Amino acid sequence: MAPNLTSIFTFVLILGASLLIAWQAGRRTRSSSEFYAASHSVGGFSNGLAIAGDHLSAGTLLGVTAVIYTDGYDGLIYMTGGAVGYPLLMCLLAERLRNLGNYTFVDVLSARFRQASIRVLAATGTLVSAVLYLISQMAAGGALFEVLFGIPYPYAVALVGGLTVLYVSVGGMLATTWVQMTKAVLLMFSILALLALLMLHLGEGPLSLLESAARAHQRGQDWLSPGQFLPDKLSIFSFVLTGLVGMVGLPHLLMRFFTVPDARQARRSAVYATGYIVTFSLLLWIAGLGIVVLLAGNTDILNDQGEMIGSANMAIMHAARIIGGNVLLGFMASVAFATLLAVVCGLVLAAAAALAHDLYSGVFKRGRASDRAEVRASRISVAALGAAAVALGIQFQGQNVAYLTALAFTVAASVNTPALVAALFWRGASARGLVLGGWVGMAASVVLLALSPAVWEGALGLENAPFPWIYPGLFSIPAAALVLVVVSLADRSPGAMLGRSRYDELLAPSVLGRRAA
Amino acid sequence: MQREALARWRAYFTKPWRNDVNTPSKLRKDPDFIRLRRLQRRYAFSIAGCVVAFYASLGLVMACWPEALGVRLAPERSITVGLAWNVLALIGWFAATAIYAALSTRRLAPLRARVRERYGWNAPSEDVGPPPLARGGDSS
Repeated sequence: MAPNLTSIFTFVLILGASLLIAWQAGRRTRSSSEFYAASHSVGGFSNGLAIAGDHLSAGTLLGVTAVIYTDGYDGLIYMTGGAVGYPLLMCLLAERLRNLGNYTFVDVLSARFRQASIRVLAATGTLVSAVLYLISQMAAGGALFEVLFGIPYPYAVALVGGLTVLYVSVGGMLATTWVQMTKAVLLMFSILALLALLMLHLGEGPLSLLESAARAHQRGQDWLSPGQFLPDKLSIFSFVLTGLVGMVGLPHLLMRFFTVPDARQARRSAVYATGYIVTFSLLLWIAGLGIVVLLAGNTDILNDQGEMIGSANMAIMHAARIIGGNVLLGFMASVAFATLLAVVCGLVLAAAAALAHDLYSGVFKRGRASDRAEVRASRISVAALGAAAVALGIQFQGQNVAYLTALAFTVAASVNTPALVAALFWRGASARGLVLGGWVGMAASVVLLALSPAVWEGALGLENAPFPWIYPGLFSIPAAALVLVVVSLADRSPGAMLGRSRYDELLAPSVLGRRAA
Repeated sequence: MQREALARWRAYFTKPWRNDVNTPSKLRKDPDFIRLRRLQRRYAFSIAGCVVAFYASLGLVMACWPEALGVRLAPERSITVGLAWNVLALIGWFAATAIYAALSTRRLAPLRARVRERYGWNAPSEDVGPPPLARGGDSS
């Protein structure tokens, strides 16, 4: 796919609009409350769109259509598993988070447990999961730019990193929220346009598309049965458990619930976000069917080796070019870029909050850092994280994007979720239990990931991975929870007693909301 | 260090205002507050439990009987059990979220507002209860 003027024009247009948004937001961003939480002033609908924007990454647009194209039914499994965390987040955490927290979920843990070790653990969990997620987005961005605009991979990754640092350091949470909202609207518009044009081009409705896709695909009727996305039973159970638990611990999503003024708006955010994500997923599935029908037997999209140009991830882009020419291709490419940029901004902001708010201000300065110093530390953190993301993005070139995203889920599920759930729902939880359980979860998930085939064989180039399964969540999550429970039950220290009495103390604000100040 | 912390918290818990009607310990014994907590837990855990059960059962079938997901619901049609299950699941996730939000707004919010009002939770106060946890508005 050669770069074309339409692609470049649309790309520059979206880029300009995003920069304008960041500049406008930057004029309103001075204090730490404005930087991290947009002054808690974002409405339920806007925040819902922003949460949906955080969820629907470039991996969803490019990766899921690729899975639908190659494996069919598996694409639907991926979408169902990706969204299952939202009702849980809504029912169990959204209101309590808003009632007890300030900028990050670490504030919620610290509201109950004052120990610095809790902040260190939770901030580290946030950093590791955000950086893993970040790598996946950078890798996707670099590949996308390389294919669509002919920019060499390292320069493409550096461009994404540079723009992210600019947006986040200038505009903070407000700019990130506005970019997310714009991107969410663009994404829905683009998928609706693509679907309408696909149906017009093929002259078929959604149901007949399903029949045609089943006939056209090389797997035939098996296309509608589970394929190779989850190759064995253990991978399936691990995927299911990580899907259920992981989203509840993703720091950049949790952070969104602190941008709204109260619990009612937090509930509304979750409803709008889930509605948006479900609608988009169903539309994407139908569009995926159309893409299968459209691309089946098309040799123009294949390279000399008979593989799709730019890998299966480019299936949606090939379809856009065939039905809408360079105009639609340029638009879809720009939307994919906006998608990627917005998600990266959210991740960098969450990781910067962990560094500047949780570690620098909360631990090193013991809460005595001035507002100005904290915002300055945040901006420095954003720049450092941007540089690290670029370096790691280049290092992980060619890695499977969906897999890298799953790694972030695994770490979040093993470290953040058990600590958060125990702190909010279990009176008997102790700080020592949370810290030990969290570090066990972190060590288990990171070590098992490093020993898994994707890292051991794929990234490190070694042979015979010691841990033969793809996802380690089935081991690391129960290990973390078990250590947390056992240590908490055995802990009779004064600190544990304090933690328990603090649970009683926080019960009223967590249920009723905060007292008027 | 821990002893000092314990002493600080002991002092905090034995402050005179701890016996005031506004204190959380008094509030926790309030029948409306108990009912509110019970209802909140019932709604949250029932809905979350249904979601987990629905998804876990899909995972179980996927792992143990994958061929069942490929069974067609109608002859001559490509709509399979797996396809219908996943589409229902996606719609179900939204339904679950919306149902909890509706229940919380219609049934829990009035109860919550009543308790807040009764205990002066809406009135600005000084040094009552633990230090404010965060900036922002109240919630209902």
